[in-house]
Amino acid sequence: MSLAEISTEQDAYNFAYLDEQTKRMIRRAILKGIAIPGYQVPFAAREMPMPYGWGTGGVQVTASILGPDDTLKVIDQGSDDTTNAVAIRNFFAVTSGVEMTMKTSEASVIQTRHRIPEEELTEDQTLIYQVPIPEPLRFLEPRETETRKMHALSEYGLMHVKLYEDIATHGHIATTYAYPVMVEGRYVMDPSPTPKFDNPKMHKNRALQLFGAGREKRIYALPPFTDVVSLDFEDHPFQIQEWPDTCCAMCGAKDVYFDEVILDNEGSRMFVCSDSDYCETRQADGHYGEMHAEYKERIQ
Amino acid sequence: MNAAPTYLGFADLARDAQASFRATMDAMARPGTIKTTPVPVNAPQPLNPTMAMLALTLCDFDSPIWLDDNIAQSDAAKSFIAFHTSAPVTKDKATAQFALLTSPASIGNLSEFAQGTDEYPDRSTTLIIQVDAISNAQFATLSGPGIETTASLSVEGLDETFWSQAQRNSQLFPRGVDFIFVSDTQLCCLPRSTKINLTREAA
Ligand SMILES: [Zn+2]
Repeated sequence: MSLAEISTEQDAYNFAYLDEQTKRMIRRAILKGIAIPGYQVPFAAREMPMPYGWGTGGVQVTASILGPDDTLKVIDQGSDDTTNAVAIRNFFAVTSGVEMTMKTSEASVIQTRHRIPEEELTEDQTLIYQVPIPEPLRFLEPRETETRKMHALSEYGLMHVKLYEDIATHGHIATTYAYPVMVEGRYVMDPSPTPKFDNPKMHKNRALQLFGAGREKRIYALPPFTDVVSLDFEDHPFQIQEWPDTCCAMCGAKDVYFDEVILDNEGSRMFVCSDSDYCETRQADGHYGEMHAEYKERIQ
Repeated sequence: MNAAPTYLGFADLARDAQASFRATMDAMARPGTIKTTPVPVNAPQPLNPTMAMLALTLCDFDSPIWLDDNIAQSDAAKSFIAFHTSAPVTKDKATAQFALLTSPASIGNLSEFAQGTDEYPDRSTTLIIQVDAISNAQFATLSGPGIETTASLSVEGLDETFWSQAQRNSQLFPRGVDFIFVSDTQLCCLPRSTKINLTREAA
């Protein structure tokens, strides 16, 4: 189904694609999620005109909160330009007509897959994550009845055992994506497949963070200033990914999450910010990495 | 079913419901923050315009509601709610997804409302309570998720019995109920996740 078909099928009331009854149902789930930070609220997810894996959970949450005064940003892997991000942006451009931006600072609502922007968010922003597997205990315990009991009792021994096995095998905790977090000392939560580099940004973030899983029909939330702690052990404290002595080749940034870019067949490579808006904003502000000029020539 | 012609509900359903929800969501995410009612809805007595807005925003055939006596005894209010929301009315507080109250005095025993279960703490009642005034005067000191350090909240008509019930409610976390206080022109939320310290003795 094309976007044009979707838009002509909807009557004027279906702002942002979803009908009002569906939005009410999702909105009720969002309020419950906010009141119980880290708890996965079941909801009756709707079929969306895009395949699972394209962020249907995040799209439904975004569609339920979005209004005509909003400015929306969509990121995928840190970039606004991937197929997935472009498809979702087009979907909302057609179905809601809201203003779109690629600039983090201009957005009131940000839908994301895989990254949290490098730029600090504000209390006027809402960050919405697309979540494929919301249950952090699923790969340890496939039965929903059992994982639900563990959450009910706040009994997370299995998760600690798994992390400790990592240490025994690798000498460190090998999990680098979807690294589990503890919310307000009560619920273990899946931070979605963001790199663990971004976990500390979830902690006491000024923005409201909402998580939507379409296939698994779960919504959960972190209100602003919520305690979010990555699980670890006293003798093996949590550590984020580090790139010692590395600066972004384009903007010179340090202490950001890097993508490695292969430049040619000889294997020359460079590291650039994964957050494309952050990188471009820095360049516009006059910060340059060592490959800046050369890179511009190559892409022309 | 008939609704009096002056009580038309939202003028622009999608837009008004969104504006209303967004203010409520932001308020629930920031306990103690007072929001101006974005879309006051004209409704029959004893419903105030903020209560009417929230009923239209959140309730439908899928969400059983409990009504306090003042509302239950007003045919005009009941038919307004039925016409605009189709929400089934329950007399059993423990099965209500929303409770609509015209005064804190009609709360009664908080534990009679749905508290959720350990496994499904979301299966709980949200109490929407009409009050005369909400302010950030220092009465209750709030802390917890959504609050950077502490927030002050004062709600007219909430007595000591209420606040001690609310404190017990937050100790039940993750079970418990959530509160939305609504005056004619403002709203404010108190979810179960908020810790409450009483800075001044209740009058
Ligand atoms: Zn850069």
